[in-house]
Order: sequence, then structure tokens, then C-alpha cells
Amino acid sequence: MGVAKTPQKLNIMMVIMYFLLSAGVIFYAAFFRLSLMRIVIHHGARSFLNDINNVPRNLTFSLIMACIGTAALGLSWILRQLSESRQTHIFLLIVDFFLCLYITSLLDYNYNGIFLWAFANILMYTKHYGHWYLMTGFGVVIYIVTGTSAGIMRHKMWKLGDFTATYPLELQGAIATVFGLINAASIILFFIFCIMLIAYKQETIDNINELYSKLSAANTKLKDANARYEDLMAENARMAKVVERNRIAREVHDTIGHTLTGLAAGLDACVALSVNAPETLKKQLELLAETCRQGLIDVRKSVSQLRPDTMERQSLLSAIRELISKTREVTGVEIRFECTIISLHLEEDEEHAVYRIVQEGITNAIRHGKATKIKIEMQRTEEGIHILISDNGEGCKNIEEGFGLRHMRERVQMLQGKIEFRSEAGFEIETEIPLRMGEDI
Amino acid sequence: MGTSEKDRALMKNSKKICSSLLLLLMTACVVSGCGISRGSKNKLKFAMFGGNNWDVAVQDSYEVMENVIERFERAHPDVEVVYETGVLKDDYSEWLSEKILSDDAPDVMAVSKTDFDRFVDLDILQNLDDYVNDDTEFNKSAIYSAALETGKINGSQYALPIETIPYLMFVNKSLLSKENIAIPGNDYTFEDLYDICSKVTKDTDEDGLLDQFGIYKYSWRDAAAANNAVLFSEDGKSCNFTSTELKDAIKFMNSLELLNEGQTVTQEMFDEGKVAFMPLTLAEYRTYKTYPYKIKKYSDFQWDCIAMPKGPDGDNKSRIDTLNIGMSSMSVNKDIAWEFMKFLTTDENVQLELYKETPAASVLPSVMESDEAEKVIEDGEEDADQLVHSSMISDTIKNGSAELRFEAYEGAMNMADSEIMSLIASGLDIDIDSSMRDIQTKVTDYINRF
Repeated sequence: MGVAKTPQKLNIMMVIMYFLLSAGVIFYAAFFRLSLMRIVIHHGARSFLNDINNVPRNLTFSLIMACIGTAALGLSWILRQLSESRQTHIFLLIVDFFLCLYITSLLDYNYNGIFLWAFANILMYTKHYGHWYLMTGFGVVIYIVTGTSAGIMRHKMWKLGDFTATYPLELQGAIATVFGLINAASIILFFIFCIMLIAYKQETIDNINELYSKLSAANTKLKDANARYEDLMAENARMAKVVERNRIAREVHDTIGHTLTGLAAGLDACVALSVNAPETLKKQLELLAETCRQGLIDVRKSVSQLRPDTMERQSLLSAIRELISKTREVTGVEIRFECTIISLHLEEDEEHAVYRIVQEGITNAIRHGKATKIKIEMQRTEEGIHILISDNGEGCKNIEEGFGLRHMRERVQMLQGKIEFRSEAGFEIETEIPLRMGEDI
Repeated sequence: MGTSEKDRALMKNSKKICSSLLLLLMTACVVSGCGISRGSKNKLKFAMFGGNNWDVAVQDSYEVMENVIERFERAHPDVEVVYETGVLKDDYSEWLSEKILSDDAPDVMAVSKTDFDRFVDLDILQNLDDYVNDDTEFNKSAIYSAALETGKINGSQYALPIETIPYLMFVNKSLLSKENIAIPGNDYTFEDLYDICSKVTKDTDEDGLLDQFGIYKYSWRDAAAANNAVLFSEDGKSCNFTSTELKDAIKFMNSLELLNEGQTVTQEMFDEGKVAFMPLTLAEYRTYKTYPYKIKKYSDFQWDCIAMPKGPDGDNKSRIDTLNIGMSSMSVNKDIAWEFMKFLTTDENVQLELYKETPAASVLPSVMESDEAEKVIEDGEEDADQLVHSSMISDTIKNGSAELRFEAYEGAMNMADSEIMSLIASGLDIDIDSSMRDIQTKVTDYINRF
């Protein structure tokens, strides 16, 4: 609805046009008034009446009204510049048109250049409103009809020529030249205005085209980005699957592996007991059955992404202690837990990692090292938590990182921690895990 | 929220614009209104030239008009008539034109014949048809129709006559009695006139040249009017120069011309009493013959006036002239102006006074035929068997023919005049029918250009 602000150059042109056309009108009106005074002073009134078709009347009034009328046109233009309302613009343009008609009639249709002002304004302001071609066409018709050359309204009019003819011959040429110049200047100025307006409109169109091409380019980029994003999403989904698979593998290894290791060690003990201690064997079997059930629950929980039950109900330290006592009971392996930490509040993934490292360390010592003594040290450091798990097992010359060790390393790396595996006398796991919000010790 | 506020501001804005434009319009109305109201204190400007309309050396009385205006003002207490006069007839046209061009046109003005067509054409004069037809107090038939006719153009009334003069035929009584010829009666014909003219045209001092003539200044126009030749249609769109009436009139003119044997009659000869007849206006008659003027002229011989002769197809018809007043089309007091015009034209007392105080005749038959009017001419006249009486003048005016009024009239008449004059000067050597057809074509071409 708002109208784009007109550029400075066009506005300057309009101001020039306004002043020239208004000056033209006032010049005509003043010329008529003064000529008539001259006629009366020179007693040429009767012969003047003989030469004209209509008696010029109230020329003083016409002169005043021509001044007021042109001033009103200027005011109307200023209001148009200030206002952005479409109704106001159209209303003012209509007012302008009738003002021009009135001013032209004041001059008895001897000069209709002021209509060019109305057209210029119509061209300038109505382009946005549609029907501008209708208004322009109508304006052109009016211009032609009111023009001196059309002759349609010439019958009962007084003419510039009648006034000019009352001057001495040598002056008549000069007067005719002056008025010719006024008329020509009006039309030339209008012409220049039209060209400037067209150039301005073209410039606007060019600007729009440029903006449009920029927009298309941006659009293309956006499409590319979107495609890349979709690829990324697919990749992410794939990754998520892989991560999930790894997690399940970890869980299976951690829970079932641990349970099965315990079972295997327990059953070995049963074989030894079966010969002479049937009562102890029975107890040992009941314990194994219990361990087996516990392992089954762990597996179920892993599948449903839940943490091991021990971790869920207890703090990390008590969970570790339970793990150690159960393992001790089942396998008969001597496990020493040396912990300088009284209580520990860790993030869930940190707790999980610590628990799994301890569990995996115990499992590995029993399964691979056939250890009979395991020592677990745990203390708080500046950065986080330090864990050392050592055993008296076989150890190995070259450490081959199997599934269990790799998983331990992955978990620690996820927490920006460090882990080291050593095998000299027995096997040693040393890890340092930085804690995010380790507070109280 | 922000937009609705903006809309409201815009609405306010456009309201402001509307009201400011309205204010401007009102100012314009007030400005133009002042122009109107300034003249509307019921002041009626009445312009009349000083001196005299009839080209005689007497002053139309300023006093009589003053009296008339005073009476009008007494009857209309809310009206003040501003009487603008003093400009001589020769300067009046220019003076009036300057008034008109200065937007100061008098409401009621005397209009000279030469201005009338032009002023009507330029809409300076108000068309009076509506007043004439709608005003029941105004009785058209009370005025000599020929006089009223002079205020019409293209069938519309634009002016009213206040004075009129008919053309009379001056008769040199001394010359006729010397030749033992009786003065013809008021119903004499072309033939009677020709007889008398042929009898008086002679060489009295026997120097071989004629020195006594029958008639001077009688024109083909007088003859055409007397023979009822209609030259133009009333609207001025067509003309008729091939009628028998006109041809007979021209033949009659030619026969009178032939009597002079190629000699030219001059004013001097007439003044010396050597010519029997000459057309003369009533104004001249009254100026030279009757009280109060009785200016010394033609005093070496006895003279009087009779009606104009009549042609075989016509009447004792003479041309009449009038002094007309018109109303400005720009007047803001048109109704009062009309009342004033009506008063001047149709009030019997005004008309009688004008008849008494000016050398012209009244435009009302009722005035001209009254006893008081009779005294105007008779008073101070020593001649017992005076031929001119108010009633005789009245008859002449009733029989009078006013010149038609249309735009091309003056030009067409001038053209016809020069053609017919040269035709008569050639002694009708050429075939009159083909010559008249020639003139008809030329004049038709001329009036068709308008």
C-alpha cells in the first residue's frame, strides 16, 4: 500500500516543473490583465471588442485565482509527498485535476500547460494503483481538447492573439516568441520528466531483477544444504544403529560375560567339591543358580537399556562392594577393595563406566589370568578418580586387546580419561577418569 | 498495533487535508462573493451619452433624464440610480467599451446602432426575451412595433427603444407654388413624385445647365422600403435581391436619376432652395422648424414635410431610427434594471416628457396621439396650414420599417449599396435581371460566411 519514496532527482525535476508551469500560468494571467489595462489607457477598447470573440472579464480576479490555484497545486504536491495513504493520493490527484481545469478556464483555455503538471503527478503516483493508463488517456484527451490548437472550444473565447495584436508591430513578434518559449518549455520539461520517470522505473526493475537473482542463488544454496543435512541425518541414523549395536555388545559382554565367568569358576569348584563335600557342593550349586538368575535379569535389563539392577538401587561404591562379595563367594577368589573415597556423586555415565571397569577388570583377572588374588585401589585425585586393578594371575607377554579391553578404553575415552594396561607380574589396569562435577570426597 | 496507529494518523492526516482544501474553497467563495456584494447596494448604473443621438445641433436635455430618474427613485425607494452621462456620442462607444473591459459595465446603457450587433454577439447585452414575455405589466403592443423591432437580433429582443424618429419628406413649398404644383397628399405615389420632379427639373437661367431639381438624397433603400421589397429573411440567413419590388424600386430610382441629365445635386443647391424634395429626419424637422429649437436653416423659403412616397407594391413607408437602451448581461440587479428600462420605455409621462424635451418622437402611439403631444408640434408654429402633426408622425412610424439586425447586415448592405449605386450610375444599360442575380450571388456568398 505504501508508495516507494521517489528519488531525489525526480523530485527536483518536479519542483522545477512546478515552478515553470506555475510561472507560465501567472505570466499569462498577468499579461492578459496588464494588456487590458494598456488597451483601456490607449483608448483601444472599442476596436479590441471588434476583434475578439468573447469579452475577457474579471481579469484581476483571474490573476489572483491563478496565483492561489497554483499555490494550491503546490500544497497538494507537498501533502502527497508527506502522506503515504493511497486514498489521500487519489483524492489529491483528483483535486489537482479540477484545479488545473479551473486555472485553464481562468485563462480562457489559452494556456493548458498546467495540465502537464497534473499528468506528471498522475504518472508519478498512480502507477501503483492500476487504471493509471485510463487516467492518463483521459488526461491526454483533456489536454488536447483544452489546447489552443484543437479549436474545439475556440468559438466563444478570447485569444492570446487578440491581446498581442493590440501591441505595436515590432513588439508583437517578441511577445509571440516569449509565449512560444513558455509553451515549448512546458512541453520539453514534461518530456524530460517522462524520460526520467521511465529511467527511474527501469532502474527499479533492474534492482528488483538483481535482488531476484540473488534470492535464487540463495535458494539453490539452501537446497544443497538441505540435501546435505538429509544425508547427514541418514548417516546419523546409521551411526546410532552402530552405537546401539556396540552398546548391546558391551552390555552382553559385561553382564553375561561376567556371570558366565563366575559360573565357570564356581562349577570348577563344584567339580573339586563333588568328591568329598556333598554338603558344601549343594551350597555352592545353590549359589551358582542364584548367580545364573541374577545374570538373566542383567541381560533383560541390558536389552531394555536399563542399568544393572545393582547400580539402580545403590550408590556406586556399595554396588562395587556387592559385586566383589558376590564374586568372592562364587569364585572363591580373594579380592581386596581399597578405597579412600567415602562417598561419591558422579554422573550416570561416569558411575556406569567406573562400575564396568571394575567388573571387567575382575572378570578378566579370573577368566584370562586365572588369578587367585585381586586388588582394587580407588582414590580421588585433583582431576578426577584414579583406579588401579592388579592381580596375581598369569599375565601375558603381549597384551592383545580383546573386546573387553577395547570397550574399557572406549568408555574411558568417551569421558576424556586415560587408561593403561600393563602385564609384568600378573595384570594391571590403571585408569584416570576426570570428573565433570566431582565435589565432595 | 503499530499499523492501526499509523492508519489512524493517516486518517487524521487526510481529514486535515480535506479541511484545509475546504477552507481554501471557502476563501475563494468569499473573495468572489465580495466582488458581487460590492455592487449590490441596489445601485443601478445608467449610462447615456451627452448631446444628441440624431445628429442635430441640439442638446438632449440632461434635466429631463434627471427628472425621470428622480421619479423612478421615488417609486423604488431602495434603488439608487447612478446616472453616468456627459460623454459625447462620438466618444461614447469607446468610453462604454472601456467600462465593459474594466468589469464596470453600466447596468442599463444606451446602445448606439454601430455597437448593437457586436455587443449582442459578445454577450455584453442581456437577452430580454424572458422579461418581455414573462412580465405581464409589459405590453409589447403599446410600443410601435417597428421601433421595438430595432432592438431585436435574430428574432430576440436585446434592447428597448426610448426615442424614435421617422424619415419624412422635406417639401420646398415655395418652389412648388412657384411652379404651380400642389403639395402632394400623404398617400402620394412614385408616379406622383416622378411627375413633380420632372416638372420642376429645368434650366431656369437658360445657361444650358439644369439648375432646379426634383429630389436630393433619396436612396434606393428608401425606394425599396416604400415598395415593400424584403431584402433579407428575419434571421439573416438568406437574402432576396431579385424580387420585382426591388427591381421596380431601382427602376424608379433610375428614372429619377435620368431626369438630372447626369448632373449631381448638392447640399448647396438644396440649401439655396433649388431642390423640391429631400428625405429628412423628424429630429431635423423639429430642430429647424418647431419650438423650442427653431434653428435658423432653410429660412429663405417656405418648407414643410410630408410622408414618403409609396411604390406600386408598397405603402407610404419610411425608414425609422431609434435610440435604444440595453441591459448588461453581467448586471447583478437585472430585475431592477428591467424595471428601469420598462419605466423609460412604457411610462406615458416619461415618454411625453421625452417627446417634449428632445427632437425625437415617443415610442408609444398612445403618447403620440394624445392632445398634449399635438401641442408639442403645434406650439410656436406660425404656419397655419402646417402639414406635420403628432398624429401624422405617429402614422409614419406605424408604417415605418426598421432596419433588420443580424451580424452580417452592415457588410451585406454596404456590398449591395455599392453594387446597386454603380448599377444606377450606369443608367441600367446592362440587363437589370442578370445584374440583380449577380448581386444576389455575391451577397448570399457574403452572408453564408457568418
